[in-house]
Amino acid sequence: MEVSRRDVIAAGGAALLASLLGASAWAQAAADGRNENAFNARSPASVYSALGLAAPAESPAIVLTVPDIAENGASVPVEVEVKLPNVTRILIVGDKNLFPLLADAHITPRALPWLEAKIKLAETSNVRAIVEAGGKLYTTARRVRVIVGGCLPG
Amino acid sequence: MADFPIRMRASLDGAVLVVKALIAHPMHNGFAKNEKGELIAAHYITRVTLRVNGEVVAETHTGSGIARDPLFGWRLAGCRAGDRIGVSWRDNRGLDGAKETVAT
Repeated sequence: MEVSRRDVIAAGGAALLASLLGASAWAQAAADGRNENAFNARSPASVYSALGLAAPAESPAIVLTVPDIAENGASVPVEVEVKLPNVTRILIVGDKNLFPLLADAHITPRALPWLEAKIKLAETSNVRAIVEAGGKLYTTARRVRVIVGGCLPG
Repeated sequence: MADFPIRMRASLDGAVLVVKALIAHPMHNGFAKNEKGELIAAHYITRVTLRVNGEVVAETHTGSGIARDPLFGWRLAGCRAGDRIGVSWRDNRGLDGAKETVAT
């Protein structure tokens, strides 16, 4: 392919635009890098602001499967199935954990909107799945009763 | 990466390839103490990447709130028996590991 001078200038402009957009938290999260601020945030509200996410809408299209009662909070199985098209991202949040953001999964169209993981829960709390689909955010939460907390053993 | 072995499976269930990976990793969150009462430094996986025939299809960023010896599962469309399925991880100390299996 022949690259004209005009193409080079256009590409440079796009790169500049991307770097300017990179200043926003949202673009940072969407880029390759892990959003350290969000993972170090100490409350769900600061997780959302670190990620630059607007408040998601409650959606019954997210099927969040967690145990009602977890005897051991150190290993709680979580399964998220999303019945929405164009899902690009699935986040798992433990509302009362010291660091509430547990996982931030980016998926390409080849992966189905489904995710399985095992998480730690500090205490009885809501587990929340946040899904980005077609540029919009959806969420659903399920309460898990934790008998033995999984974050501060002993 | 003998210290952090990965057990994984990629099996076709009809048109869907179910991938499960069990990574041996301590996932210390930095709050637990050892027998002497000293804090165990944080040591946890920060990124898990799933590849099909070398192409990244999913990437999960993780925090210390993921369970020890974590299990991750994905479902993929458009895969065939014989596709190479790879899982790789990196942790907060810069250690990494990877394993590849063949879809069956």
